Amino acid sequence: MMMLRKRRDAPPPSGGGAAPAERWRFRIYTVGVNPAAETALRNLRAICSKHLELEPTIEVVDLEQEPELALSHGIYAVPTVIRHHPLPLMKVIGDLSDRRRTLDGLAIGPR
Amino acid sequence: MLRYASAHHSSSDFAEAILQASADGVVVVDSEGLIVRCNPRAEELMGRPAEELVGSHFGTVSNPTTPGGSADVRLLHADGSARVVELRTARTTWKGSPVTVVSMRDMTRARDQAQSLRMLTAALEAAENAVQIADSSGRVEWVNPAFSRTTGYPAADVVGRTLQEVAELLGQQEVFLGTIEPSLQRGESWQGQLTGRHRNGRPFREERTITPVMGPSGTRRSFISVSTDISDRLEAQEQRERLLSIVEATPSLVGIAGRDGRVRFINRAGRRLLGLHEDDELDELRLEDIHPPEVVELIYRKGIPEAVRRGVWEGETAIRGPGGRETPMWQIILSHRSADGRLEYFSTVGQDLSRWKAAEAALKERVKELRTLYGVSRELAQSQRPLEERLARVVEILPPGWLYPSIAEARITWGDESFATPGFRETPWMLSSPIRPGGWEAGRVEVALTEERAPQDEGEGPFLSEERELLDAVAAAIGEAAQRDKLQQEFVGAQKMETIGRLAGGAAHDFNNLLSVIRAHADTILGDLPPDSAHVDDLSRILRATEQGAVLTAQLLAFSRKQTLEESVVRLPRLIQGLEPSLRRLIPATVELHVEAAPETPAIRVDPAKLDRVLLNLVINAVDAIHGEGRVTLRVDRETLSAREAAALADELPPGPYATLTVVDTGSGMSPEVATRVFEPFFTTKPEGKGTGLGLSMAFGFVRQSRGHIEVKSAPGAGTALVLRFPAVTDEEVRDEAPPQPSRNPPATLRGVRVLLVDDDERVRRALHRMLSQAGLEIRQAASGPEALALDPAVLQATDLLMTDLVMPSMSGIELTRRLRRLHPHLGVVLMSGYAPEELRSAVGGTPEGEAHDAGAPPAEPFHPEMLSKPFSMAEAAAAIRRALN
Repeated sequence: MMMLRKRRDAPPPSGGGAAPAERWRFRIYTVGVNPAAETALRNLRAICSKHLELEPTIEVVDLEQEPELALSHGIYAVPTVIRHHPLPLMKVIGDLSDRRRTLDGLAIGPR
Repeated sequence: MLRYASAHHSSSDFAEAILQASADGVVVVDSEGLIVRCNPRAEELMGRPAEELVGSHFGTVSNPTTPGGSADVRLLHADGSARVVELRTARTTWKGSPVTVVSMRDMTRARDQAQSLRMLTAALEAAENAVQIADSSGRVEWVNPAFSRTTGYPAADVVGRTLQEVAELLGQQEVFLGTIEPSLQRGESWQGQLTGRHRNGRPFREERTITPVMGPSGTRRSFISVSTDISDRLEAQEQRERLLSIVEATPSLVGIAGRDGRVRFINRAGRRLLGLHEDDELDELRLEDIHPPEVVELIYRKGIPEAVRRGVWEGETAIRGPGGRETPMWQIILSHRSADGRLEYFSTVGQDLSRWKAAEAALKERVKELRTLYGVSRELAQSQRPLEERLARVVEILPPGWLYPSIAEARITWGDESFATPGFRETPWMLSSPIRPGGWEAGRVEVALTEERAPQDEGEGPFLSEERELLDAVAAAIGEAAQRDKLQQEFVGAQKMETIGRLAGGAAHDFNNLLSVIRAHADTILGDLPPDSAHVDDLSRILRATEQGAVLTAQLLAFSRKQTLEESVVRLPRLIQGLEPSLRRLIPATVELHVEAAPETPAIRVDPAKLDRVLLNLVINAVDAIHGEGRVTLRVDRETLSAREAAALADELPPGPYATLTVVDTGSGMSPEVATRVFEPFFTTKPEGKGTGLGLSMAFGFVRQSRGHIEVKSAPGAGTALVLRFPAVTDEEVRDEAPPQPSRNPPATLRGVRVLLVDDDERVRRALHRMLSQAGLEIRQAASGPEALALDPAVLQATDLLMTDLVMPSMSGIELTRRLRRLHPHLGVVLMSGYAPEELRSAVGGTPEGEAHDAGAPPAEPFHPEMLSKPFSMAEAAAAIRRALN
């Protein structure tokens, strides 16, 4: 099982820098080892690689390690995925296995 | 309307009431994800009051939990705890805006239960015990893999069947119906051992518990059956029992003792050695009770310390059995340690060495005997020493080979002589073995003990059976040495006889030529004289003297194996029968004659007339050897000589069946020196004038010429036996013996027959010329073969008969015959010789045709030249010439 600890994905390789597209940023909240969060991460990657030009930055936040973040970030359930760039902030609860609701919830793809 | 309004109103109130009463938490989220409404249960689940929740950002629910789905969403409580929830969503409008109703069911408890169940199931699936779970009606709902392993039936084969049906499948229905079911019916659990039949037919043993599980109200809800496969355990137990039975059955002692030295186990062999009974207590047994003191010391000092240090010790010990009887043992002591190296107990295996010790002692005896036998053989092999000297040494070697060397004495008796160890005397404890070289007892070997000893279990008195064998072996070795000596002497004797034979034969040949001359001339003169002449008588005396001389030369020729034999198939019993009356006439009244003729004596091929003469001679000799009363036995029998026996008698005597003719007398016998010379011509022990000394020589030559063997056995005072052996003829030869051919009519007269006479001796030629021409034959002479062949072919062509000497310097008579017959195939031939070798007759007979054949000529009729032994009378010559011309 992939261990989810607080970590930042490595920045994408510089592709010349002059790309007009923005690099999206997400945060996934989990509590300890959580299979649903793993699924959520996998699903998010898959969706992004399909609908986004650039590979997004995904930050995994373990609320077991930093419980205070739950309150400050307004997280009611795990897993929760937040799109915090570009704004507006979008928030989705669940493992993102419902593709349509996920696209809607995170406002990705054809609108 | 009112009703509608009321309904409308009440519908809103109703929804509100549901929200308030719901066991699930409910939040209503607008399109931005902000909470616009929540119920008390949601406040409870999230640990936050409605005031805090409403207006806060909940977010979109990406995927509602589907029943059995894997979504694992946890709701975070304000206190930091998290609860697993099942999320369901529904979209609707509220106050004109689209909203999502999210219901949240707390699944923590259910999930924990499912988890427990999963763990329990996993535990049961991993268990070694076979488990069946049946519902209240006894129908199997679930079995674990161990069940399938034990029984061979996969879950699919048993799920849905009743416990009873499963019991039938496993061949357990009897026990099931007999005890299990009644017990379950009473609501009691059942426990016991069962034998089941695996699907592959192999039996297994299980220890099983079936428990009815009761519901809260006391109703039966299910059955749980748990089995432990004890086949392995039983097998291990059987294995242990098998090992134990082997240990009990082994003839070796096996014992186990604790670290404290207490005996825990001794097998049957051990108990027998120690004189213990099956149920005797072993607890009190100590090493001191088992072993003699010196062995106890050895075990304490070396055995146990070494077993402790190295794990094993082995050595020679002894066990003290009932009555203090000690048994020698080869014992191994092993120390046994637990897995962590702690010394736990000792075991020992012991082998009874009594028999081995006995075997060792016996082996030592054998070595001693072999050494003796070797010494004896080595002594006896010193053939350059006289036998007596060797025997004197052998007798000294014997006593040390005996079980009691210090009181053993030996003696060898050989003929008249005796050799003994200094202390030898005849005692009641003696062993004796005869020496029989060639089957006759010639002496004895004896061993005497000078003191009494206990008798042996298997043997003769105080002597071991091996000692009897040793003595017999020594006697046999002496016998063989004597026999070897005798053969050696015989070989020398045979060579001497051969030389004498050649000399005698040569002399007789020349002598015969001379006699031929005298006789031929005397014959001629006698023919010329008027019958009333005074010289007729003188000439007759000359002729008689030549006849006597011819008899003498004939005897010499017989000895030198060169007499003419007219052999036919003869049956000895019949021959003896015919001869018996004349033999009885020869024998004086004081001598008894025994004739023993075995009817199965095989037929032989000999000259019967000559054999008659030989037999007469032998009987006369036998009678002469008896002074006063006595007995002569004439025995005819059969004998089959093995290759070894034949070779022992004479070189080149073939093995096979023989007819034997033995003449035994009870007379004075002969010394070995005399016995070796009896066959020499002119050797006689009879007074001057009483014998020619040619009788046995003739017999010797005759038997040898007849392919047989003659042997003399005699000892002074023990009489003499002469054994004649003749090879048996086969039945075929007996049948093939053709009846004598009737002679064809000879020409009435020989007058005018043209004869070519060839002889290298001029005197013979002249004498024959005179004799033959007197009979009217026309004679041509030649002194040699080449001279004869050089004659005018016309003369040769006109010749009727060739009379030639057989032995001539430049060309033999045979060669000459061969050449002339080639020119003149119908030439008659008479071969003359001082000898009349039988063997030449066949050689001469076969060859000329062979060569004619090679030359391409038509095969001639079988050719048999006539043989004429010198000297011959005119009558004999005339008869031979007539036969040759036929």
